[in-house]
Amino acid sequence: MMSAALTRDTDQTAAHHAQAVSNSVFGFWVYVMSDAILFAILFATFAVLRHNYAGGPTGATLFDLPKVFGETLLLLTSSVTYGLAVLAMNRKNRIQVLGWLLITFLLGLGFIGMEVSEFQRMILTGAGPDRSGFLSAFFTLVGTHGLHVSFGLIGMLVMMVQVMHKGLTVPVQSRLIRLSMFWHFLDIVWIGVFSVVYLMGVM
Amino acid sequence: MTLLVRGLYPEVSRTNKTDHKKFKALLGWHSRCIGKIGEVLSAAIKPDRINLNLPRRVQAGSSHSNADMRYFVPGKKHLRLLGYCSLIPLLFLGGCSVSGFPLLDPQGPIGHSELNLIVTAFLIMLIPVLPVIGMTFWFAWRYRASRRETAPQPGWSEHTIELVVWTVPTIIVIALGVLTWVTTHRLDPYKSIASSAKPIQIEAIALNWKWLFIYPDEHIATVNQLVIPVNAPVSFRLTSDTVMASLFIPRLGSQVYAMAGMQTRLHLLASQPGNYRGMNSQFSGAGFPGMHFRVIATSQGDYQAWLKQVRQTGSALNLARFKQLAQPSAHSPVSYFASVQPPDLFDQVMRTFKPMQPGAMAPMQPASSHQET
Amino acid sequence: MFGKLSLSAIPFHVPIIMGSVSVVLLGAALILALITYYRKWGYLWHEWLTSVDHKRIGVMYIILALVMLLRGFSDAILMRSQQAVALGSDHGFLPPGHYDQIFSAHGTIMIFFMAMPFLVGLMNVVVPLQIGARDVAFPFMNAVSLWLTVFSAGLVMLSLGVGNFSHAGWTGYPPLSGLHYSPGTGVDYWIWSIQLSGLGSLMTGINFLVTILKMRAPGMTLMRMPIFTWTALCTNVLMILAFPVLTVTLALLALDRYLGMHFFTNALGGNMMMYLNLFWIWGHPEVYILVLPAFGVFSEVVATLCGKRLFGYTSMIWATIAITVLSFTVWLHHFFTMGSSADVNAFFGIMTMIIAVPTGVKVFNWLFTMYQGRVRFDTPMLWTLAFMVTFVLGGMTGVMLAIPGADYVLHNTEFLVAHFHNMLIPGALFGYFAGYAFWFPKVFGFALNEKWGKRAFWMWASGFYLAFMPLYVLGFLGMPRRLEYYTNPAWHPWLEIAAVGAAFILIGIVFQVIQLVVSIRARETTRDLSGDYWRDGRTLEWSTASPPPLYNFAQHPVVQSRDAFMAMKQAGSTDQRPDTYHAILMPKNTPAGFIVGVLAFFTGFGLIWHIWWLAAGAALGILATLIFRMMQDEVEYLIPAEEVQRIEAARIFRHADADSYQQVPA
Repeated sequence: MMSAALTRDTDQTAAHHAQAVSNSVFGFWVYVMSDAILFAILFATFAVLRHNYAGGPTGATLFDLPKVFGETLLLLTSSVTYGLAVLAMNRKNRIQVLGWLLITFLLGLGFIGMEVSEFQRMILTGAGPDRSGFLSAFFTLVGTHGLHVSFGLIGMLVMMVQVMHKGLTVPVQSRLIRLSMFWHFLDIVWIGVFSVVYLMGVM
Repeated sequence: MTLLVRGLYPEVSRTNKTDHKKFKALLGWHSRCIGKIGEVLSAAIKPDRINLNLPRRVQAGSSHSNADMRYFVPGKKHLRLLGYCSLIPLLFLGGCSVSGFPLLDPQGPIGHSELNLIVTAFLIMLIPVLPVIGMTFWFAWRYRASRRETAPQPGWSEHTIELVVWTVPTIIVIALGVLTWVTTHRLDPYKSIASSAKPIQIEAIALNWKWLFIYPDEHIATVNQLVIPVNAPVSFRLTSDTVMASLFIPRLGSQVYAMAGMQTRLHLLASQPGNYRGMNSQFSGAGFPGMHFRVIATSQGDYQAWLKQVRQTGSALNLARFKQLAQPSAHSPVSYFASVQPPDLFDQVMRTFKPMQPGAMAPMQPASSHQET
Repeated sequence: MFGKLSLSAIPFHVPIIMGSVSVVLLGAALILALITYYRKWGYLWHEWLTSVDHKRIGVMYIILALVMLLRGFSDAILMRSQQAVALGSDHGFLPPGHYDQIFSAHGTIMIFFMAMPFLVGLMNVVVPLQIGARDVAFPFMNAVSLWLTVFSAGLVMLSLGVGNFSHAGWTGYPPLSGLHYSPGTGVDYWIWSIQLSGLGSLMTGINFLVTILKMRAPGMTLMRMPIFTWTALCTNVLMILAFPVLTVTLALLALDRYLGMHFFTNALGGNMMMYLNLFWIWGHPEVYILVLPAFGVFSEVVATLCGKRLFGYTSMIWATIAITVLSFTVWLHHFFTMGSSADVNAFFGIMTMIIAVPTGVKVFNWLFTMYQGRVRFDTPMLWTLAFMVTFVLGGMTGVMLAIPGADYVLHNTEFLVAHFHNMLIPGALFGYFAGYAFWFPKVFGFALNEKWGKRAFWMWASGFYLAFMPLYVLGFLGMPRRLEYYTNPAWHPWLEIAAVGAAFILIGIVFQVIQLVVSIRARETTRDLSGDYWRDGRTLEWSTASPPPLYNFAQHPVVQSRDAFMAMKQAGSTDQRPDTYHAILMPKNTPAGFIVGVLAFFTGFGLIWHIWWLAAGAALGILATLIFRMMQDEVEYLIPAEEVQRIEAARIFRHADADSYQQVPA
């Protein structure tokens, strides 16, 4: 009698947890959509200000396309490696998850490093965000993306710690899924940035 | 009450017997109307004392009964008083005439068109609004819970009601939509006013916290005073040396924002001579309350005389003087300038904020689809 | 070390401010003293400040809203008084430069710290109960939203005594709000307080969207949801879509001010017109965020207090969805006079008029719910009736303003001020008051005094007309808005009438305070023992006890139709009890939400005063708190089945006793 009640309670708890995971993933998806609107507005701002050089440097003079291409490769590859981490997670392989997460982290860190050095170069040559409306919009759009990537990197560190200490429990897996959504989303935004800001800016 | 009615109907004389009879009848009519309104309101707020006749099960556990709570119920006497009070605002109207309202008594064709538009829209909107307000009072009173039980009558079908409430507003909106499209194009501030008279060009610069008006064709300028001849179209170019401002002369018509680094356009015409108030309607900081100016519309002859006066008494407006003017100050007195150096001061002020792009012909405009007129 | 902050930031030499600050501090000290005297700190911390229960969070939101209503209304009284006397050489009693801060604070507070918390509070309390859920989808995030809002309001209150508030209006148009023309801390207070509370609003939107879409009781399809939940759903969609725009807009202005960027500056490639576009792309949906929950309240009140199901449920829903979608297509009507071409102005004017159609449909649907119903004039119904009459007047003036040609002479005049108050006060505030009166007995378990409620209503309704109808007249007299003093004597009498109206509203607010005090004192004699306080409750929240137990429902109700509780009553199944009770999993209370709020306050404060170490440290603290929270596994606890049974049994006992309950007349 008692164990039947307990079993019912455990079933209820398990169902509750499954519902909670489903809600979390859906909720995160909704957040990602709101973030998409945030980036859309930044893109719109860039579009309005894209020719406001105020007599200062333009995209054609500033952008180092090969370097940007390198950054893009780093970020796109990191999406692939994260995908491999999730596949490892599905196979319940802790070591592989940690490994692929670490590689993703390093690739992302490389991306950020290259972006920071690009910003530094531009600022030191007098093409900082305070030079013109165009540059303000550029730094803010690209910088916001970089800030999101940085938060993603922090998230990856936290998740690596969680995978190490707790293992691949249901909440940990749920967080890894959400982080993967975030990471792939940032990848898509980058493709937009690369096309609209850099490629079109140089033409 | 007597005084009030006499105030409202001054034509009713006190001495003439027929008038006096009419007057008493009027008073009685008023009194009955207001009493009736009072009855309706009084019934509306009486407590609900009727048993709702719901099944016992549902009533079990009822913990609330309005009927037992005693509270102040205004009687007919109180509500009649309230009804009279609602007439008080009318007292004020006796003191004002329409001519005291710049928007109701415009002195130019733009203002006239805009007033017509406001009145037309208002009247069209009354078509749905009056029935809604009426039905609210009517239904609230007719279907109040405290009335005696009446057998439910066949009313309007749900389907009919839905059809009406979707289609009637839609038709009204379509009508208003057409009106909007036509009048927006006709009243576009960028559109010049067709007239045989030669347009007066004015370049207006919003400063903190005054208006500088440059007459480029006359090579003079003023601060806080605009003198224009009657029946001549006035063509404004507007910009700001500071924050956003909005040039607004209520008697004449439309307002338009003035923004730094760009120019906006406005076309107005004064059809009557007069002394009108102009202002900035967009809050611009500490000196904003003082940022108004006078618009004087006069005959052509007086206008020419005024121009001569400005040329004789005015000082020189050069870049240094302009920089002085641009210093923040409020309640600036009217000043005249007999010369403006450089003559394209207005464009220079714009260019200080937005240097011309290579290859551009004109400084930035807010809406690129505007045709330069 | 302390950035721009120094003792000179406190305006010791301005008596009006020192007086107001003293009142606030005395009030706060009194409350703290009372809590200490009654030894309630433990209770307060464990039951309220660390709570993740949607009912408690909702109550705290509404308490915030009511407190900020007092602050926002004080600003209003000051403005009306100032304008009533400031004719000619008399520049009024306010020190120069204060009127600007007051109207900026008034708008900011009323929208962000009164209306938003009020509607979010009502959604918090009601929606999970209406859909048969035990809590919202993300209770911890719910708490974070609350505390971000509370502490952002704290920042605004702080600006009264430390530094200035913004002079640039609640809309903060640049370049006036830019660094060059507003170098002080005022605009920064404005930016950070609404930025932080805006993040809270975005999180609320996500939370309730997931809750409504994923946590409804079995059998409750979308078309069986209560209408308030439908309007809440649409409101949350608007919040999710609109608030990111505000976040970006404020961030861009902040970047201009802090890092010298050129988004909205006059020179070097800035474009101030872009600010207006971005701001109002958020701003117009925001007013629908304010109004849709109120519409939901009116729908519930009309159906319940007229004893009749809501007329045209389906068309109400489509009208609400239409309003949600269309609200993103009208924003330019806020700046017709900025110089757009006639095609653009006409398009947005027409779109604005189109949105009046579904709104009108809703009004007719409420009317026809009353038609052949039994209309009870309880306080919530009175608010609703006043709304129906007054809001359509405001809608009429709105359609007039939507015509660009008319707007060219009415924009930025007092006519505009009258119009938007004519929409927001009856449309939103009366709705919130109606919701407050309607659900108070459910939340607290005892009645709100009807007599004082009605008195407050009449003062508010008459005060509203006296305060705002003269403003329409002033628009036709050519009076612009935001005027600290003026020279035109024709405006004076109307401003005096408006001040009298404000006084009437003040009395109304006093009556509302009295109502609360009287109700609390009489609570033992007015207990709601049945849960169905209005006797005609139609939706699931009325099936619970008043107040509901922590877990809301011992077992999830199974829903078979719209107006689920009314259906249960008609089927005679309201008294059914389950054979066995199950243990219920509930989220644990946590201090993390409160801590995030406190740290957000210091982040904002540090940013405003350029105390960079404080801002960075507090921001890192928020990150650390959230990571720490993420590391925790034990965030829920089980209420044992025996406990659930005991609570439910106690309720049955009270229910059976209800027949003998006798209400003492007030």
